[in-house]
Amino acid sequence: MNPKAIIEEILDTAQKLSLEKDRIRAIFQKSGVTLDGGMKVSAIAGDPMAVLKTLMDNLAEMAVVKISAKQIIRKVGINI
Amino acid sequence: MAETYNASDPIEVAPGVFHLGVQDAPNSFNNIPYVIVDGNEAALIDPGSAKPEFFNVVLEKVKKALKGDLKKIKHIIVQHQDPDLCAAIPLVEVHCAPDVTVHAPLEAKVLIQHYNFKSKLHPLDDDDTLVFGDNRKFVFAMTPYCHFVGSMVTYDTKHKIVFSSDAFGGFTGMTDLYAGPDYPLQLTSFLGQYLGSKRALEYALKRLEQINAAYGVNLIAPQHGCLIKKELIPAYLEAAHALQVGGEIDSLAAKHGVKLGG
Repeated sequence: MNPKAIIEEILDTAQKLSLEKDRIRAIFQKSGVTLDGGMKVSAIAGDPMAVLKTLMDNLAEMAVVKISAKQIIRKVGINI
Repeated sequence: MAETYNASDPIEVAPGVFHLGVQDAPNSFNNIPYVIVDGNEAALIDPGSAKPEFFNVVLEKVKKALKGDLKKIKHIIVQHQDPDLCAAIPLVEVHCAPDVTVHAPLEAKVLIQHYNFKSKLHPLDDDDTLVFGDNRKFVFAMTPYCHFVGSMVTYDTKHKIVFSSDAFGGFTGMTDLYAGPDYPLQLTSFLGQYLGSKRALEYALKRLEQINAAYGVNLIAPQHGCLIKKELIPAYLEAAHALQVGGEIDSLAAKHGVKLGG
């Protein structure tokens, strides 16, 4: 699975766990992931793997989402 | 019956069985105590957090469920030692019957004492029972290491409800009462990370299947997440059997070059 697909899966999971869409959007935005009005990934700024690592760091603000994201990246054999 | 819950009203999910859930939207980790009324007595299961924004909600809901008579609460049952279900004990006990007893798994007892409550603490072992009210019977089934050695679930023989504590819990900040389309992901996200042992999970699941086969289970009522109705229980059991747990160890072992056997 490529980093962009992983980022999309983390985004999808985040929205199934949390009602706080603005908070999710802000974390993805400051990590370099732009979301469109439908909360889908519209652009990734720079190397997707580097963005994924930054996103994982920033998700610490939403512990439950980060816990789930750790499981997603582990499933595909990535160890950040 | 309401399909969602709110900050003010208990929801009667079976006759005399009240869901006292508190939404935790910022953390996606709702907290659900239950109170069960039978005749002139009541039992409070996993009373919850000491944080005012949680405890005040629970207290108001209990008052409504018991029509103001909190002295009916003769029993407080805590199914393991975590603060999200035990921290409220010293706050709620002052409202309960003067002889209220706290029941907890034996292995959790040595930890639970540190919540500094005054009530008698009664240790439970596997297959112990509690009879209260008009001959209402609870059976306690230990589920060791799922996720603590002193963990258990409580089976209500009258309405065939399993109060499952963290087992079958899920990460969610929504107010859905019952498991819906997103609950498999919410459940597996939670259990996948918070359970360390597949063997412990399998024991708990197979024990639950035994109880279901022998006596029937109409409802699973976890302490986080959503209620699981009878018709969905087989699907959730299947999902739980397929769950990979303890993966955090593998991540850290890989990171630090630690070789693990088995």
